[in-house]
Amino acid sequence: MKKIILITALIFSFVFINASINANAATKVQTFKGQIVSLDDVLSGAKNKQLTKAKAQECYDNNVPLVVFISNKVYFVKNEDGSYAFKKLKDYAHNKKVALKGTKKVKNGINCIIMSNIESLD
Amino acid sequence: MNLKKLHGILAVLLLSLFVFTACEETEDGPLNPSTSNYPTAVTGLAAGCADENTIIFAWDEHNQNAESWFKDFLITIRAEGSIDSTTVVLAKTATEYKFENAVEGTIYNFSIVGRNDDNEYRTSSIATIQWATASQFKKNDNNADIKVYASTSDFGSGLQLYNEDGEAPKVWKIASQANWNLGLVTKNNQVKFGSASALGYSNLTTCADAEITSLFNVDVDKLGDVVFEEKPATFTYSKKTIDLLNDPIAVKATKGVMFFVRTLDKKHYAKILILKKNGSFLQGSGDDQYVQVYVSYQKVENVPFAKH
Repeated sequence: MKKIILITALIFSFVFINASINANAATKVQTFKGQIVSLDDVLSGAKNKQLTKAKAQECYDNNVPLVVFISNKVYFVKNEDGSYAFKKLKDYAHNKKVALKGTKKVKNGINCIIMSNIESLD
Repeated sequence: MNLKKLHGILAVLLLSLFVFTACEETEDGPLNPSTSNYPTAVTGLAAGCADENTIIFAWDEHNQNAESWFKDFLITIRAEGSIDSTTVVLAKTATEYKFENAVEGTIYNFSIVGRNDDNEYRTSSIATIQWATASQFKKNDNNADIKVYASTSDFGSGLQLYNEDGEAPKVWKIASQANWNLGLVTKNNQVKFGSASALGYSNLTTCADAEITSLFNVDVDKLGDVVFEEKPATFTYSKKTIDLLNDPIAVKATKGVMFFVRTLDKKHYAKILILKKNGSFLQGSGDDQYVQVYVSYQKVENVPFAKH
């Protein structure tokens, strides 16, 4: 009986610890440094992906997604309320480099940052 | 003369007598009394910019405005170089006028004089001042609050008064020090804001830099809340920093402190407001503390209060 109780307790402890680790991994706020680019430029292999204020506005007006390019990976950015952060990215797109604070999620192979804050690194 | 003619003349005479009697002037005094009283010139005439289109003109309450012969104020506003002017009549108790049709970069000549009850004034009592509006910025080139970060932060500690590409003030990291006009330094427990070259950063060698005034003795959280009797060009400027922890005006302030800046070529003037919240200029936490500023910047070169 003691053995059964001990094993059950161990199993519960393992499950609890594992759940805690996963929860920590999911909510860990990190700083991501990269460049805001147009998804069209990424897909077309454009060499110079630097956006201007006017070009970023054009992308935004024409529903061309703005994404963050970090180490040759594309990240979609969402606000904490779940909406896409294209408007915010549009305002910062003319900077050469930005820092985003938030959490990273990968779903169905697509990288996503849930952003809590953004700042220029120029 | 026959009797009929005599009756006619008498009738005309009687009618004339009646008419003159009915129209008799009943006032004792003259119709247009002239007075020798004229309002003196207003004192404390000052101007300030509330936003890109609004200039505030202010003056002391006139010490003769209780006099019955003091009728009103006559105000004239004329854009420099223009023959057209706007004339406004204000109550004699007025102490402020907002001109809301200003165009940025245009010099406006404002004059004010008190009139007596004959609508007359002495030309020697006309008070005048010149002013122009400036662009007001509460947001930076990213349409976000203008935050100048602490020395410990990964973000920028240098402020460019106006960035042409971003069409707004821009905060830069030290790698872009060439764009720094002003900056923040928080090393060694100090909190100093001021000319880029005076911050003590060793690698600020080719910064744009700027000269600043000392703090004005005001406690405000809006740039348009302050009016000035003197043109900013008449203030004293130098390359220096303001000690936000120890400057007596900064210590006393509860809302924010203000000072003027001019670029080294003396062509552009700006007004900076550093906000103070909850008793501190430094906001945020950890390494990313910052000061938040508002900027009023004259984009057009050499407008009157930039003349030198």
